[in-house]
Amino acid sequence: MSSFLLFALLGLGGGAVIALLAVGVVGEYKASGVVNFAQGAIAMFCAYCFTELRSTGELVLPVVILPHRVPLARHGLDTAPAVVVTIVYGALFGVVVYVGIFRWLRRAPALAKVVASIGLMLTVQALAVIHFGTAARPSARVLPTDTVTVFGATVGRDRLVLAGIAVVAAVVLAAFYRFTRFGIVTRAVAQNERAAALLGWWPVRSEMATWAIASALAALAGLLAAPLTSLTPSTLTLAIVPALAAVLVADLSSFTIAAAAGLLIGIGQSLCVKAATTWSWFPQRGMAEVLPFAVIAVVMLVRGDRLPTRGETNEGRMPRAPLGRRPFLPLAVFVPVAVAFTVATSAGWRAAVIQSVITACVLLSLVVLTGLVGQVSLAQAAFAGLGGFLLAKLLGAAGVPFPVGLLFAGLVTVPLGLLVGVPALRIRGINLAIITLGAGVAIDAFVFRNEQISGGLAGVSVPSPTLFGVDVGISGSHAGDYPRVVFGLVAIATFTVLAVLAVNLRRSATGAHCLAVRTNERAASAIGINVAATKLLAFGLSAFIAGSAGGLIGYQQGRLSPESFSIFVSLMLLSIAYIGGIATVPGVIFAGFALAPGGLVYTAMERWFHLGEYQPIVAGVGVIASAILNPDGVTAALNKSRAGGRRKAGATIETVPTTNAPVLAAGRA
Amino acid sequence: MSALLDVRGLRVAFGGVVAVDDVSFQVDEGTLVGFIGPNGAGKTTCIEALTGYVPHATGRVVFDDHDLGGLAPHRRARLGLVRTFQSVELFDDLTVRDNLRAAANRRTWWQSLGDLVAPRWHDDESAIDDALELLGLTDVADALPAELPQGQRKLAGVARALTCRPRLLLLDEPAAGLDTVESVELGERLRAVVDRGVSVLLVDHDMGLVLGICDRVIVLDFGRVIAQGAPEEIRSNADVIAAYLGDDVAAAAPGGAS
Repeated sequence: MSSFLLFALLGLGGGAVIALLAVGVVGEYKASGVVNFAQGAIAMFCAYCFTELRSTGELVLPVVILPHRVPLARHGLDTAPAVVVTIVYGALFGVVVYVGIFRWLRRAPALAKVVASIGLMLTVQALAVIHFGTAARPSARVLPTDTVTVFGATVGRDRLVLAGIAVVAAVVLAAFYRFTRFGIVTRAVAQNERAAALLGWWPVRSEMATWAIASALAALAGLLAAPLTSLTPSTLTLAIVPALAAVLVADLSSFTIAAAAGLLIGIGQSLCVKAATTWSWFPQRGMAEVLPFAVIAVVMLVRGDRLPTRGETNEGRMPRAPLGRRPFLPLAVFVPVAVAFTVATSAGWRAAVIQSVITACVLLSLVVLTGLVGQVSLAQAAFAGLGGFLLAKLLGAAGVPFPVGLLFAGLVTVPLGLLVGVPALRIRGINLAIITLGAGVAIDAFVFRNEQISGGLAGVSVPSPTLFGVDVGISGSHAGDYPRVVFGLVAIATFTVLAVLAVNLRRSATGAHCLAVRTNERAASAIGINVAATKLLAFGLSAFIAGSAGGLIGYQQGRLSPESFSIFVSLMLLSIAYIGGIATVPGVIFAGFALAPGGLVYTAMERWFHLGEYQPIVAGVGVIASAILNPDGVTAALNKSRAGGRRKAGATIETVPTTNAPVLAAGRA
Repeated sequence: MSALLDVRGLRVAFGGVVAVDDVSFQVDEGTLVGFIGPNGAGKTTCIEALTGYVPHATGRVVFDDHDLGGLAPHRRARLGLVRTFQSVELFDDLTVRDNLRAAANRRTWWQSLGDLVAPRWHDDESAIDDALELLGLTDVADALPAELPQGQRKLAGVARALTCRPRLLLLDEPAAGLDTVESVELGERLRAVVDRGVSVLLVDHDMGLVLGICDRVIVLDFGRVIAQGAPEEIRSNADVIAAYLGDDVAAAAPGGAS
């Protein structure tokens, strides 16, 4: 039994990191109503900065193109000054992030807040990849490495110190917010900014201070925790998932509960590792990642309401979903152009077009779910992955025609979509984004990293698609014949069919019901719309589209590996769809061609300027800017500038007097 | 003959605060019933409870011989018990006409799947045109809600509720924000609605409107029914006057306890 105790104590280290991140997220949410998905990424970046300070004495700034290394000393700094510099650096990071981004999103809808913080997460992570590389690196130790014995278990003192720091931070912050004038002002500002301003409080100051403290805590967590595991751009970044679970346990409000929950989740994750080595029936992989998701799911289901309660108003406006007078016109223009391009171009460009079209296929799954029904999902890559892997596993050897294969890949994904959709019946907005993020991570860890499903490092091979016995796969009989035109046509045909489904949905009565649910669930149910069924329909359809697209990815790659469907792919998909215009088909066509990694513009940038590595930064910064400046997306903005005349028509309608209709006679007739 | 809506012992408590306490009343087929009371009397909470938005409400509500206990809001709406909202709540992405069409069309999930392949609207366009005309919205049918003045948005909310084919309309302060002329006109339109066989429960502060057009009036104060009857009886009822004028006697009146 004492070895379980040992693992529980070891878990305090990870738990402390989770707790420190969670405490920061709670503070940021209290101050400005934003759940910061980038908290882990900030910790990660600061941890890298700390190791750079220790080894070279240079401070690495989160910028590209501009000079980003500032020498503070001629050789590596000592631990104490490096810690101080890193914490100050973290605090400034928080201030910049708040002033530059979240200050502007106070009254934005949940979707805008979520995509902005995801954009920040992607940006920071991409900066880390560019500046520090992806190889794991050892990190300088800060805490003492000697051991102590607790109840017979010998454990590194650093774990205990870390846990202690997390507890102290939470208690001090809680006391600070409850008892000091600063805390009271911050709470007042968060509840009613205008009233607080009328009393002479400058809201920006208290919010800025909160973001500084929260980010400084993230920096502290990063530099203390990095030595416990090896430092990569994604490990600490993904610590946000268990941290968000802790934040939800704390109901987004209690520092101390968040810290306690964070520590417990860390201990739980460590015990999962121990259990896997002790009991053969215990899943060998993924349980540590499933645990936070389970916590999130339970908390949400206990707390959620079926319908928003009275007074819970929808803040802000969702991206427009215009239908247009000729809803199929964009497709009618797109298809011939894409076909011509596929036929006429050389191999490299054709591969880019195929990649663009396939990405647009996956993005269509966001149009029906997030665009039309307003349900934020960060699990789309998981849906696509499930479709792809199940196609490879179950129909791999069968040699079925590709439409059957893709239909199969879509249909087998529907149950997962419905399952992820069930929590959406009771929860909405940012909380839904959190639970789908947790689900995406859990599916990635538990299903895709399961070697029996994904074939381990080698991946699983997907046989070439056929149609009427003819091979329509991406690679031909000889090596130079790649990618083949016919596969490009397969991709375009698949996109067209899926896009017609999405457009049909938008222009049907069901589509009107979807938009009604998106705008106002209470009012939708008041006119007899079954809100739950509408959401589940959207989740099911979205999973179908993503699963089919995943099958197409399988055909495209020939060999599938989990990396194609990681949680970061989901984040990327949501971001680029949002930039293009998440509620329309032209929006995702734009996103597929102009923004997708490996897409047409990406390829051009890489070929001509060698700038492909900046794609994640373009996507990250782009989605932040979109959330603040242009939530309708690029394509809608282009349309608006064309449709000046139609606006005027609206203006004349406004001047029609309200009381001129001969109603009563007609009414009594 | 049983009443269209029969409410017995309706009670809603939020924590320790009793918002609606032992409320009983009936609405007969084809009548226009006023539902009035000072601010905070529990009128909107009553509507929320009757239409299923307050799951923990207790008491017995029978509508058109259906016991509504535990039914979800959309099911009650489909039975013909349709409400409007104080704060309008139109669907901003849809034109006024499409707001009505969304209400006129019902979808089962297999019909929705059919929509993906062959989108259909099972409209009774004439019913929609009728509702638009009845509320004087024909000329603005293709405008987006944001392009309309507040008064017309309110009317659009009523029109949308009408296209749900209600047996009983629960209107939550449709006249708030209207000027006197508009308010009088709204009253005449509501009478026209009732004349077509739709019963109406009208919540409003505008005493002139309510006492002017209603067949019967129910008065709520501190969550309790303090009077009900014909408008002329209500006009002279001592409890009602006390409740509205804030007479000290009001504290001792029935329902003053909570």
